[in-house]
Amino acid sequence: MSHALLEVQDLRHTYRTRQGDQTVLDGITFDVRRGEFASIVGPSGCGKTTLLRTLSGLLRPTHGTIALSGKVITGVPQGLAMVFQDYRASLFPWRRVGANVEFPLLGRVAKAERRSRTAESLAAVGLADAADKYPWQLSGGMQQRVAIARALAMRPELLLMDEPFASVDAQTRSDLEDLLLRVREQFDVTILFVTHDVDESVYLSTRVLSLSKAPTVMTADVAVPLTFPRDQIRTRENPSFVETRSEVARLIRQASPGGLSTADSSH
Amino acid sequence: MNTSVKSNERVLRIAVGWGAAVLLLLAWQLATARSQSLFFPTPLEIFDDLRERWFSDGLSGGIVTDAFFVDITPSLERLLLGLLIAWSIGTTLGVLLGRVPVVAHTVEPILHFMRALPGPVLLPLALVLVGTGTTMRVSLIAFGAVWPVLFNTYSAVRRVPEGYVETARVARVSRVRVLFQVILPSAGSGIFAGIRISTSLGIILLIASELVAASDGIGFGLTQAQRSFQFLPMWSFIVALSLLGYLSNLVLTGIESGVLRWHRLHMSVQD
Repeated sequence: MSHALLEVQDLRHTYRTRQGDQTVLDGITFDVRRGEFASIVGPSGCGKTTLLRTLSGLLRPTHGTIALSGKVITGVPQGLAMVFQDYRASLFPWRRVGANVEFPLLGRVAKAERRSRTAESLAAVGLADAADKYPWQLSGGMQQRVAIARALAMRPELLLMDEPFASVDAQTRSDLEDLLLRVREQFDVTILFVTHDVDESVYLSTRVLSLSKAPTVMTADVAVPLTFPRDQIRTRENPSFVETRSEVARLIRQASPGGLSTADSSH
Repeated sequence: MNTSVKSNERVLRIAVGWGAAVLLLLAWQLATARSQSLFFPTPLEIFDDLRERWFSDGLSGGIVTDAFFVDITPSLERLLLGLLIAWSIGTTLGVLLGRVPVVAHTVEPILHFMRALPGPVLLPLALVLVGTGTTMRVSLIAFGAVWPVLFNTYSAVRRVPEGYVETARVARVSRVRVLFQVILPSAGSGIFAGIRISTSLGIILLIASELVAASDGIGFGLTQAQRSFQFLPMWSFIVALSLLGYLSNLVLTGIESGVLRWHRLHMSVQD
């Protein structure tokens, strides 16, 4: 029997704080199959960060299992790469762009192979000429492309992305979305993409999962009936896109009874 | 055009700085030349004495005199050894404190207590414990100079963005490499600030340690000259000390601007 690439089984996590126990994840179960582009959407404070930290092995969940390629993970697993939201706290300012991309390969991959992978990844994100610059000499969008190139150089089976386009302007954001879809084809990588933007999740994904507010459970699992390649204008006016987006938005609202009003009163 | 304006400003700044120094020397020369006081020789006399004492080719035919090896070299050795010990202990402990909360909670109060002791206060104790040799002077310098390195490293390491460490951990980078290739570079400018402060402290402690039970070194030479009313050599020793401070700062700045070139560039981009 073949396994899904990522299998998450009844994942629970509770933080112990002085104010008492705080349950953030309350039993999350889902699979991601090889080749999928799965997005996770949810309101702010829904435990997305905790979920990603447990998936990447940085945080050990209080309950439940995570398996990558059929192997239950106990620490950071092999074959996984992550792109963080804040590129400023993720790219090393003392290493040039090329050296940043090469960093995860040091001591693991032979030099010639490192060089070729770095060049290939940088070319794939359109930054072949920027290898000798420092990250802080580039714009925000370009820096996030460097972070994507670094993740690709690791040749991951699963790429985790934590709201990667949340801190760039709208135009750069659409460019980055299309770039991501291109490199996904080129590198044949499975992506789990966290965002708070329903439109973005439908535009990019083959499948959208939605989360409730904490204590977080999975509230929807919607397949996106759109083909690739996608186009910022044509895809977004496609009736299937509009329909799927409404469906996801509706499911998210239903999952948090009262919708916005409860969100407001909780402040 | 912008860069040429900047480099012009730079040249002007350097010219003004050195001009002021030359003016001060000139005023010093004029004032002391008119004075009959034995306590204040002219800077030219001091310079001559300094050159003759340490930098004329002596009997051995080298570029420094035999006196150089009695007056200067022992001090340099003590300072360098003391500082190297202070730096290695300071950075090691600072990293431990910054990265291992248990260590911080356990030893931080003790460290603050120990830091409150001014280095020279320990001189009598050091004399009793480790005697009057080089060990006493080196350990005094090391003890006094360790604190700025330790606390600067500690705070710089704590300020390393957790994102850097997590990025490395997700890439399954080993702990050793996280230390040397993520934490230390990121904390580099803070560590260097500590090293600079510790160096000037080290010089003070060096002299303090050479004032008692010494038979050579700058501090010893200085007190000897003063006690035997040889004011010209006394001034030479004072100038030698300030030269030592100036040169060590120059060396540190050189190393820092090499190691932390990225940091300087980064800062200049941000403002």
